[in-house]
Amino acid sequence: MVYAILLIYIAVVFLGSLRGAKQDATTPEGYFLANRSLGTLTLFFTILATNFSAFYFLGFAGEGYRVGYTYYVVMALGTGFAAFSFFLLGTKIWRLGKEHGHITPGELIYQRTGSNVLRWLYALVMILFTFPYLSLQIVGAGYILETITQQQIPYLWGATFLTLFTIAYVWIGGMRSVAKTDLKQGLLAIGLMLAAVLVITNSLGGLTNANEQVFALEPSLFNREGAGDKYPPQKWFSILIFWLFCIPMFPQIFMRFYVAKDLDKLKKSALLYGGIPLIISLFPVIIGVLGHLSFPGLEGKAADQILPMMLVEHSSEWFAALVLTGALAAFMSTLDSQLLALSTIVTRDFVLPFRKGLALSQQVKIGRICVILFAIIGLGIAARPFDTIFDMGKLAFSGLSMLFPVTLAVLYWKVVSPAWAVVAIIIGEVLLLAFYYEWLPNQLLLGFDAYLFAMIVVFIILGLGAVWGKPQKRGREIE
Amino acid sequence: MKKRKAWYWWLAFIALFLLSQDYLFVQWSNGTSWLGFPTWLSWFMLLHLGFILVFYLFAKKYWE
Repeated sequence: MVYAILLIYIAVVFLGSLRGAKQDATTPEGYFLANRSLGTLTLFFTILATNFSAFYFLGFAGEGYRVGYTYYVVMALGTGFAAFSFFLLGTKIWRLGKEHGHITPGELIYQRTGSNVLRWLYALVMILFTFPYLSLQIVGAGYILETITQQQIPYLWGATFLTLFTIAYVWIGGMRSVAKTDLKQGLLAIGLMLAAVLVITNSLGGLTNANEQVFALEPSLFNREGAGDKYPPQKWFSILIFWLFCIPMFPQIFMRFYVAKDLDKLKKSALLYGGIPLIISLFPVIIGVLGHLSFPGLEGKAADQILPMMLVEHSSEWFAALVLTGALAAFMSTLDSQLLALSTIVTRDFVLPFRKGLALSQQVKIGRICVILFAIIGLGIAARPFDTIFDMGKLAFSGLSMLFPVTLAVLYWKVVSPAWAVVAIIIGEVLLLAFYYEWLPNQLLLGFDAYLFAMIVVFIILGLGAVWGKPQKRGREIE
Repeated sequence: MKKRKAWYWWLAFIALFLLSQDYLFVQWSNGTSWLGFPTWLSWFMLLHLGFILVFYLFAKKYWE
């Protein structure tokens, strides 16, 4: 039964990618941006699906288990606030993209500043800090397939299989098939998560009863600050604005701003994006919190598997397989978008400036080779995950958030010095890593998150550059 | 006129964000309420609904 469900799912996704291939895969705009023609629902689900991933299914449940219900607010309200970035950055990015034919974030940076060095650094940061997040999807797929098949498919085999399958349909279909797949996978994931919560809470004697049992057992999971006082005021402040800075900097989200058919579609997608987390963020957190009733005492990375463990424990074999297939769908929908975004960046930002007049079909070909290469690197990281799903994600997101000040400046400021912007990004990233690896004492942060401190420094350097630096020129139009 | 309106919207969003900083004005008791969720959860859900409403109005009346 488990294998039948998996096979049906794979066949449906694969056929979808073949349809996408027929429509778009002959031009970079078609292959990479679906000809800038996505409507509201497809656009919204492709943004949502690239965002709610292994981090959503396993990371939310794991962090719900470790921290409690306050994590729901962090993710629901925090990502809700992030919808504001669709207005702040998305509108201008969409408009400039349409006007100048941008496909990658780096092309926008180049067109606004005339600096290839800034463009390459910006693109490099995007690539490097996307890898931990990309590998999370592969880690998640490995965990799920291992649990769903009761160890018949070992972790690494499962991770490899899902990676190969994702490569295949991105290779064939490009953005249109990715977006169409995201729509199906997004709907499937949300529906199945709701069903999972209903089945698990029913098995535990109802939600109210189960929550009260957990409260009696572990009251700290019901604290506003979270278990272990994880979110005191400074952390709370930092984390609730964090998503506004980092989500639009995910390359796969940034490039989604280009693909909207018109501004109205972008606005409606933003509204949905701001609203939907109110509901869907709660599902995995509930399962994580209730996990204490069936599996008490899990620590660190072990808690990341609480969702599949609860499903296997509290539902029938076929239902667990169905829900976990939905989870796999979520991982793949993030992985495919990341692979496509990174391969586009390499092709357009690093190859095209040196190979002027490269045929469009050649660009698509190079993009496809990059998809394979990046998937293999992701698989390599996933072979030995270096942290919990939450912390691997947090590192990736913090690194990407250092690009926010530069993006805001190139879109709105009259003067941006490219040289100072390069220095600002490098210092921001170095500061971030210095706090992550504790080369600098965390007491310096006064309780706030490291990203906030580093981002303020980046803004200050950019401001100084605007006063004292050599102003930007406009770059040539992108081919 | 447009600039003045922009300030109103900025103020509305900043106010919503400040309302999410609950430690500034309330000390929640630790307990459960509807469906066994923590008592403070309803506050944040209502705040989220408030954000959706303000964002909707913003998208309709200001965002171009």
